[in-house]
Amino acid sequence: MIKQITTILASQFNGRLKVKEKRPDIYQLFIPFYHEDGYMIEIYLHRENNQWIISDFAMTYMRLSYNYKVDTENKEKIFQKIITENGLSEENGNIFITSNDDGLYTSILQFVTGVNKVSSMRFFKREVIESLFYEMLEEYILEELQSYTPEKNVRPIEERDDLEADFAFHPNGYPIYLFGVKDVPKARLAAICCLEFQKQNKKFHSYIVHEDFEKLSKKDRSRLTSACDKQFISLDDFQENAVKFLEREK
Amino acid sequence: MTFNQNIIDEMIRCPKRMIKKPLPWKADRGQYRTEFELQSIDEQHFFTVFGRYNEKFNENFSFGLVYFPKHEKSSFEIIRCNGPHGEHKQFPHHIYYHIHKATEQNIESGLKENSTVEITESYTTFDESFRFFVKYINVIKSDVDSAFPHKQGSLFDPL
Repeated sequence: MIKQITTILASQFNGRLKVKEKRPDIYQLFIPFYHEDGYMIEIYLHRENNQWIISDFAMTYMRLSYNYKVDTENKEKIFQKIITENGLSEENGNIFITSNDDGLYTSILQFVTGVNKVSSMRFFKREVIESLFYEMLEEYILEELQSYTPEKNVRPIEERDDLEADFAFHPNGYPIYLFGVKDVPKARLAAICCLEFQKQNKKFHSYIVHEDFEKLSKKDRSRLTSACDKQFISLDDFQENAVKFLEREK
Repeated sequence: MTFNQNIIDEMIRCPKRMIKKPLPWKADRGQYRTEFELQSIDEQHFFTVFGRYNEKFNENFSFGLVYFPKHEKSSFEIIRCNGPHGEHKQFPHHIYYHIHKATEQNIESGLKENSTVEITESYTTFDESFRFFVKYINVIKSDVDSAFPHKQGSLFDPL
């Protein structure tokens, strides 16, 4: 079996390897490693000081820049960390690794791995990270606020399954309903829920945890301010002050 | 939002006005880059365009249109015109000028939205590619002419 696997892979790898001269003394290597858009990872080879330089001539950085900017100190730190931890180097966007003849195959695989990780930095886009807001809120509540016995997805009016609080706490005799809000539709739903609960003469307090309070329009902020009891302007604000407020409810 | 092929095609081809003019080409770590912003004529849809070319290999270039749906924190690269920079899974062993287009099928399957490519003969140079791109995505001509006046030089020249 081992022989069979080796034979198949050796033949397939050999069959899928091609080299073309891109510029005098710079060669593009074609091997079946692909970006998510289906294009082959750009790998170029040239010789310097009797060594192979395997590089991308900044193509990975260029590709990343279509929808992600390495434009802050922190992003730059992550970019450099990926490069360094994968044994690669970077100069003016060009990602490269040096190798002798014996280590060429291994170095190419190492290069491809590092380049793929750099490409994945696009998942750090704010819109992707922000989509984790509800998960991060839930994680914090379930890990840090257990002593307030949080309940998830609570429907205070039994027959209205469209009016649901994300969480309920019971520090005292009446519940606190909490709504995470990261966009306009959720802000409006939270306001409607609070008003409907009030109409039913429910005894409760309501908390809103915003992903970013400032991003809502003035009208939406006014509606929420009028309908709910306490707003945390960000997840950081909630994490810093939730316990204090819950203690005051006791 | 629910993205279907009609919406994607409409977003690519709807008439657009340039609401923020292109930035001058700027060197940035081994590439040159520019960006500008577009809005549909009916003012309902917002887009950005990016242009890139590699410093070492000028034929490795890209012009892409990114759509930002209203009321949603997401973006979709709905079309990208590329130079002949390498091989694609769909067309092994060949290197072509090509166009990436977002498809409903890719989005539904969880693939990168624009992982389907079309080989093109509509352009064979960087300059032709840009002219093709802005015409294809329907940027109104007066805005293009004002931002990129016809001249003897190349788009590679500083704006």
